[in-house]
Amino acid sequence: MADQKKKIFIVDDDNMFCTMLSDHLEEQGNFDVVVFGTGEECLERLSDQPDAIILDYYLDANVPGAKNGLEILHIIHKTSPDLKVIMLSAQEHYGVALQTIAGGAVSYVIKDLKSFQEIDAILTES
Amino acid sequence: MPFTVNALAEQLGQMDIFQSIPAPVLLHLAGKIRLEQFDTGALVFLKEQPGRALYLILDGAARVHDGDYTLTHMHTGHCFGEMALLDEGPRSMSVSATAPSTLARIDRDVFFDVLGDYPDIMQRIVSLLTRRLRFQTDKTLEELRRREEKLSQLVEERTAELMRQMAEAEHLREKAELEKQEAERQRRRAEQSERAEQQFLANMSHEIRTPMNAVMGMTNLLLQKKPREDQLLYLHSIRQSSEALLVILNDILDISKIQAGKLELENTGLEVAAILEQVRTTLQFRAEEKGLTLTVECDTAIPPLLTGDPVRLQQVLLNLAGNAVKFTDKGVVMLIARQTGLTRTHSRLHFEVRDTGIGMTPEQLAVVFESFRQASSETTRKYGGTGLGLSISKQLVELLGGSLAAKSSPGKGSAFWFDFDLEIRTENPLKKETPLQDAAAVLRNKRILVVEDNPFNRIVAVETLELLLPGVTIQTAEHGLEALRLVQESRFDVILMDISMPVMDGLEATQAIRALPPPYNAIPIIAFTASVTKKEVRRCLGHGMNACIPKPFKDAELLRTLLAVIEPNDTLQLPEEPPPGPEPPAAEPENPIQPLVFLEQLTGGNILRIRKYLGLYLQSTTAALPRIEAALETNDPEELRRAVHTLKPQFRFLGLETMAELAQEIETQLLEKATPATLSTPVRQLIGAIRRSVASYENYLQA
Repeated sequence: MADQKKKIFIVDDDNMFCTMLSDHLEEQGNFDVVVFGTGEECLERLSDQPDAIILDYYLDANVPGAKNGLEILHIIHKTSPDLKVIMLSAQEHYGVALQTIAGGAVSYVIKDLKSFQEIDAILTES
Repeated sequence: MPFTVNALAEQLGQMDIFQSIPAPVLLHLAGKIRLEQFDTGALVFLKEQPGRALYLILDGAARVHDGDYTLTHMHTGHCFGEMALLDEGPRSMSVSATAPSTLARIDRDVFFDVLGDYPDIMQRIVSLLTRRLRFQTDKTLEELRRREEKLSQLVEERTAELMRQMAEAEHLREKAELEKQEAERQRRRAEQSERAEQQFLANMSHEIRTPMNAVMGMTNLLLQKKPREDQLLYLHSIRQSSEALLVILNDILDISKIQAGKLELENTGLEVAAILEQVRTTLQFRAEEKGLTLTVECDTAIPPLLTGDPVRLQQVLLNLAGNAVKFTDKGVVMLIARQTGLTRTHSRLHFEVRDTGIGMTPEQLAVVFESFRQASSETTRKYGGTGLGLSISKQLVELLGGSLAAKSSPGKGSAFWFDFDLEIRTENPLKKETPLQDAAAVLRNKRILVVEDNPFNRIVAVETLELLLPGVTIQTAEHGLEALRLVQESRFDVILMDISMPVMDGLEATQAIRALPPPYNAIPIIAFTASVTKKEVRRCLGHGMNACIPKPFKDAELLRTLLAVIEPNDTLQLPEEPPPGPEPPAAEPENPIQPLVFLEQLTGGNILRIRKYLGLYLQSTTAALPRIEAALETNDPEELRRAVHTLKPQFRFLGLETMAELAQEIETQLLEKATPATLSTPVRQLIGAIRRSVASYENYLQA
């Protein structure tokens, strides 16, 4: 098979983080990364069958009224229950973490200096 | 009905085939014809048989067929078998009568004999034959077509049936696949929740141990500061309560680790006598207080040094003997270790704890090893405890390779025992440790760097060290980066390093220190951590640390570890001039550029990528600043939160920790319903800090 790369969607309105994460993943050579600024855009492309989605919790920084990550997670989980979703947040909040795990996310990653390693570990897990 | 020759000749004369044949010739022929009678269904001749005669139907009917299908029906006046006149070969079809019939048979020889001189009749025979052959061919073709149609219909039917069966099979397969997926989904869900649970436990362990460390440490500090009589009482209560709380916490963490299969046993040197002695020392006071006799009986035949997990064995014995002391009001508690078998490599050991206590009924004994079960709810009220101890002990003994058994009678006492094999170690017994009293002397005048972000824990660590080791010099750092700078500025004999810290964590800091030029890179580093799993210890050592001590730490453990890592009489020699190292970070407030440690590490020092990220930071701040200002103006909390939110992680990645904390604080306040108006001061601070950072990164990017 020529194309063994995993397809990863990143959904985050933080352009700097998206770029850093996308560079970081693509540099490893195993991933094809597609970046979306809102959850709605990502939902339209679910048919591309990504291997994992890295989804930010707050998605309304630039687009007021945009659905937040938890709502997007619920929709993804309903249509593609087996899809691996990693939830991102800049806010360390145990309640939110539990909600996202209960909503079917495989993990809850805080955006900090360790998040890149954590995401690597989760993506290479399966 | 019988024919006369004349009548036959006359009938022949009426048949088409004999037209223009003179009557005398026909009469002659009629004289040579043989008549044959056939019943309905009788065969006149069969395909493949040699043909030697022409037949005329004088009366009746016949059918010409090709084995299994009919080519044509024939009646009175018709003739058949013309082919036989031309060729004596096998017949190409069969003929049978379809009514009682009389046929005239004209043999080949007779035909040619009598009619050979009349070419007309030969011509008619040939044309008849041609017609018949064509007809026969058409009929065969038609039949073939019919059969083909029937066949294709059959094929269609069969195909449809097959498709149906395949669809059904596919449906079944899909159903099985769906079921498989569902099972898989449930398995994953279970795994996820298990992982969440383990994560939760790990967090709890960390979250509880850190404040416990502060509580216990500060209580000890206060106890040493000559408190008043009443304060002493309170402090003792605090200490007892927190110790009890720690026991419960450890019990809960142990049982969850065992149940999750995460408990790993050590395989190190084990001295049975020392373990028993340790248990005795721990319980001696409590036993004496209750007026009990505590005896320890250790078989001298037991090899002095075995291989096993001394900590867990001691935990089990301490639990069993502790229970015995707890539930015995008068009499004796006996702790016994015997060797019951010996091979060249292994020793079989029997451990037993006996008491003369309140004992248990058979019903109580039956449930005593279950989690959260105590002999009765009254037991909990009277004696306390979580009810987990025996359950943990039982499972630990099983992990050690034995099984825990008990017998008891109410009012007379109980006995608990277990047996298991341990490998014999042949090497020298464990090195005797320096008595702790001497530690202070050895460690006097050492210089210690404490790196810890939590201010409470920092105070506890510093003051404990000062009390234990009068004369030591202690310096502190709040995070790894500060530690990295300090070790290059002054001389330290040892570093006590927390693991999880902002800016630069303990593992990164250790790696950075180990990468410095000698002699800085050789400073012993002790990890000072809330997680004490074997994996964590391995991780610390793997990053270049020398040892690990858990928080909350015990004085003796701290001293022992310090002694172990500091080589006495071999203190670090520093050169007169420090070698050129990395430049310390610029300290001017106007220039907030921190060393871009994280970005360097993430990108492997790729300047182009670092510049790109800085560019993106400038973009997002340029977009966010007017929004923050407008939100402050219009007092719009939601817009302010949105505008600040994205920046926080960006500050962190750039090492702008103060700004990240400021942003975090603003966001937290906003989520707790504060209005921008009340947050005006921190927001303006943040705006100023962002502007300064933007200015200096712009300079950096232009440089």
